[in-house]
Amino acid sequence: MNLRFVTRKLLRALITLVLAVTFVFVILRAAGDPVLAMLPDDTSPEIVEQMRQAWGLDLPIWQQYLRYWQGALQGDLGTSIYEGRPAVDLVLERIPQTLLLTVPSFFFMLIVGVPAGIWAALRRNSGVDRVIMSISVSGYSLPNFFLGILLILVFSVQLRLLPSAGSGSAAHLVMPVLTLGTAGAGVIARFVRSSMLEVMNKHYVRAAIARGVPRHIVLTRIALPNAAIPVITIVGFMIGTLIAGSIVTETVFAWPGAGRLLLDAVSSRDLAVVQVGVMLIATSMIVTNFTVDMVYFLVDPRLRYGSGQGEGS
Amino acid sequence: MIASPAAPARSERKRLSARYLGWAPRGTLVRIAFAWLLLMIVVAVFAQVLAPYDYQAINLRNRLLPPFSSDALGFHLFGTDHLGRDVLSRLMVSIQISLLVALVGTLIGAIVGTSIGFVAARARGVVDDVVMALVDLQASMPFMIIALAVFAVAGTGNMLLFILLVGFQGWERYARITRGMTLSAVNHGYAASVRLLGGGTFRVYVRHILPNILAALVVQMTINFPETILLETAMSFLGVGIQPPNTSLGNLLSYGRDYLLDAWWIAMVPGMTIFFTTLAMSLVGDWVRDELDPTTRTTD
Repeated sequence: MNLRFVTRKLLRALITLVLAVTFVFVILRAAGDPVLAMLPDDTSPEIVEQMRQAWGLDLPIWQQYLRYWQGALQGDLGTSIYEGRPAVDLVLERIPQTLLLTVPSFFFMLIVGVPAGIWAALRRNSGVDRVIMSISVSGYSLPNFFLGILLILVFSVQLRLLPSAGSGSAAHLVMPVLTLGTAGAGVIARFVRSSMLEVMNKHYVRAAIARGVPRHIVLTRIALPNAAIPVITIVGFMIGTLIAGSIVTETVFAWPGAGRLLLDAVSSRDLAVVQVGVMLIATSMIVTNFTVDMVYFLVDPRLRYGSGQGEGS
Repeated sequence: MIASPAAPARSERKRLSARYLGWAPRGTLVRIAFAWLLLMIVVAVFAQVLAPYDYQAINLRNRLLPPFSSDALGFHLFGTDHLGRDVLSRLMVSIQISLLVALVGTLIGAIVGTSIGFVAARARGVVDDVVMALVDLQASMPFMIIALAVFAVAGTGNMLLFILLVGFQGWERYARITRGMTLSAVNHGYAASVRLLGGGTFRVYVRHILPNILAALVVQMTINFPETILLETAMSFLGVGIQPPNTSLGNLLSYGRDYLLDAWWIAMVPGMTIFFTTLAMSLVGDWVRDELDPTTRTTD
């Protein structure tokens, strides 16, 4: 029974992955001849023909598709026209810088958002609750590119405390992480709060209180684990926000990461690099979603024991 | 303390939206938000009439004038930019473009998504599977990445393509909502009755099921609208959205970024405008959600 859940999710992840790779292929081919898009307009027809043969673009479309898969599976996804190096290498060497930015932002979101949400739920309708929820709504209404600029204005231009661009030290990391993590922290705080409030009203929590179970036990052993389940979904969703947000944040703070590489590749139409970037993002999103499903599976006994439903209230 | 007694959930929920921004009573706050949006709409519609100067008029002798300053031509409420152009006039035209893109974009997403949802619900079988696989694919990718991939191929600068693409953002949520609600509505008495009375598929879907799921769709639109504004301004900020000589709030902000040291207002004015507009839209959206859709569990 429970194995079926895992296989179904795995199958779904694989199908989505195949679709994503196909999507990239379709987009890149739908736009017309990639050779013409890359070469200057005055290139002689012989050279164009040579390039097309070299890249297998004279083959029927289904053969191109197969070759494309072959390349994708071997990690050979073309060469950057500007750097003259394999696109995969270019992207991969920028990944550590992006992780250096996104991983702390992710933990910032959780470390700020989860306790704030719990606190607001416990002090519901109080001043604390109002302040936290006000900050939360403002936080996710504030576009990250503007937040970055505000931070630069305050901490770099006015106070001269933090460097406004570049990477290399912990001080360089502060503003980008705030920029990238604030909106997510706001969303998570709001979500945790609502999830907590809902769980607190369930019969099993009220029954525990009625039985005289100490308050901190009710909180940590009964309410929190149950409230955490829906929060897992939103945390998975936040990964996507982080990836999109890192493009903006890296641009604002001149951070040498993969997001800026992707944006530069889009502007200069370096299609091989774009292709690798998009595939990598798609793969990491699909892996994330699958992981979220599996975590769900582990923490939610209802899924493990197969009923798939059954409400506590 | 921990669990409040079985709360009157509906009225409780209605009061929650007020508290997002603290101390103002709920009605006042929503009214302020409405007033701000109304102001934005008026500015958007009459931008060309209201703008005190031509938004493209360059005056290099009056570069980077601070807010509330005057020059030979007149008064500049929000100062001038690096080419001596009036920031207020540029702001008004930018609001026009940004709101237009957001509005058209939201409608495109709603119409396309809803139609796809209807088709999936009607066809079932393979078509339904394919649509749902695409919905999964879309939901697993940040939309901005897909938009970037398309622009990498098609090139930037085509405003029509940009609006169409930005509009597609969120289609999968409309499709999912429509499909799900249609599937359950088809089995309800009213849809079956219309069909028994001889109503065709189109009539059943558009005349009878659509009005019943409209509330959920409108709620989704209030969520989608600020997201579309943010997507457009972010893309324009990154230089892959609206291109000069057209201008959007994102463009203004990205120019302002280069002059933070000497002219903070160039970035602050459009930035605050985006912030207030998305904030107002969130507040109004919460209100609409409470009014229209008491059955949906709001996120608070």
